[in-house]
Amino acid sequence: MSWDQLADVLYTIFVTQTGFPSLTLGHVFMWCVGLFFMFLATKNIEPLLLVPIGFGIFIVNFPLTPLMGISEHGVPHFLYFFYHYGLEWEILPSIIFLGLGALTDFGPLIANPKVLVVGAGAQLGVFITFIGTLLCGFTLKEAASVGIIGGADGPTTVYLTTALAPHLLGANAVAAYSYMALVPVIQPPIMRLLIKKEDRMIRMESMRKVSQTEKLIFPLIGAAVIALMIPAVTALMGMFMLGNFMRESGVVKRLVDTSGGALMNGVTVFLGLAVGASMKAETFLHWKPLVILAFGIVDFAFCTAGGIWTVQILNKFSKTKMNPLIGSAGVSAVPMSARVSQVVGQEELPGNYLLMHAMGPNLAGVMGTAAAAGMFIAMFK
Amino acid sequence: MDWLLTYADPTIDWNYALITLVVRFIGVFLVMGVMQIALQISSATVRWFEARPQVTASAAPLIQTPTAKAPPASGLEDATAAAIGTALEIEFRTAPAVVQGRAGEGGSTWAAAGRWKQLDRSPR
Repeated sequence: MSWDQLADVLYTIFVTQTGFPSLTLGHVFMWCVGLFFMFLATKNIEPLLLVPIGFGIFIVNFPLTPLMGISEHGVPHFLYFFYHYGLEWEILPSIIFLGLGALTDFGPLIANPKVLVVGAGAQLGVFITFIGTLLCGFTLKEAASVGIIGGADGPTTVYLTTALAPHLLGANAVAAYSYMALVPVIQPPIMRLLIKKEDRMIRMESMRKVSQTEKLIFPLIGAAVIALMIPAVTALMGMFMLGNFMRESGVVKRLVDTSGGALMNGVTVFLGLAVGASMKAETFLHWKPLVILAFGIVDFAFCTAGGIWTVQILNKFSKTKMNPLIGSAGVSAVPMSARVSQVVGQEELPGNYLLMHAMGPNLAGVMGTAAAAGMFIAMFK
Repeated sequence: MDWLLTYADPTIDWNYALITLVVRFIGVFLVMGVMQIALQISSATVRWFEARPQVTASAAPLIQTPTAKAPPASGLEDATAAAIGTALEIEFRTAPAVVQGRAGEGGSTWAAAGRWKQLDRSPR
């Protein structure tokens, strides 16, 4: 073999079998996006999700990588396997909801059922964002998937976006998880703006004790109501209620430990990776993700306001007043937004403990977001 | 207002979009409202069931009192019974302390024997 032939072989290898010649600025930009998310994770901002998402973005944005396609033999590539069977088949968000159900104590919600309506009012931003994004040129399905970001519920956002606008999955998921992490920054100014000082100092009566039987029956009622009224999200909410039923039954501790622990952690890795891997430069570098990020914060703000306004309206018709600060917890983001209610309440009146009261709207927000998602799926799918 | 629609997709039927949106938003309230009512009913039912055994337990003495057996009639006339009662009263007042109770120091031999007998029977 002559030197020319060797050089020719090496050149062919370089051009056809390595990624260097195909690298673009878009790839480099996406590496920066991935590294930025991993940096945020090191600052303790949603690290459980941003680490796999960031790495997924990073690794998938190298040319010629057989990660998110289908081989010539029709076999899905490694990450596409998780994306296809995990997200498109609605498996991973549902399993995460199983774990969430196993970790959730519905006691505060059962003790004060009227806060369920707060969870509905806190979906205001979802619908306002829907209109806003439509005006910006999004399609109906895309607008619905962006709107759900304000529900501040990651798995539900992933679930709905995969169903309606899978090409926006990465942007929506990242916006949802990023703004969820920023709840302590976004919500307090809105809470102080919309609630008078004397209302922020309202002390709430201590909640009644909820019996184990009530807790055991609740997931059955929740699953039945959702399945009857919004069948589109039965997979998601059914798993949520199954996890909670297992927890409250007290007879399957091993299953509860696994669902809320190892299983959920494992699934989180693949959910994050699959979401990150969906953010390839060719699909992500578009004006729409920027609009999504901009509307995300508007969405959160209106959802916060919607929850607060709902509590204020309920107070007008009720003898026992609720502190409107707990309304902001209706945006879901469990338990972050409930903690924000507690912190702001403590600042106004030390010794005013709102955490458990805020957990009610917080859990209602999870169901409200799922209900809104179900409405959108029923509407557009 | 047309400027608002500058960037919007021209194929969108805005009447449909807005009306169905409002209906769906109300629908979320409806779902949560139904769940609230279902939850309140189930909670009230469970609490009623859980309260029942306590009510039964506390009511038990009240139920037993009227159905308790009355002591058998002695067959005495009222006047006779009153006379016996008075006689016993006088006897207790005038009798020595030993007769009234076992704690007296100067008890009779009969009473002392009785006490010792009791003590011997008591477990050691």
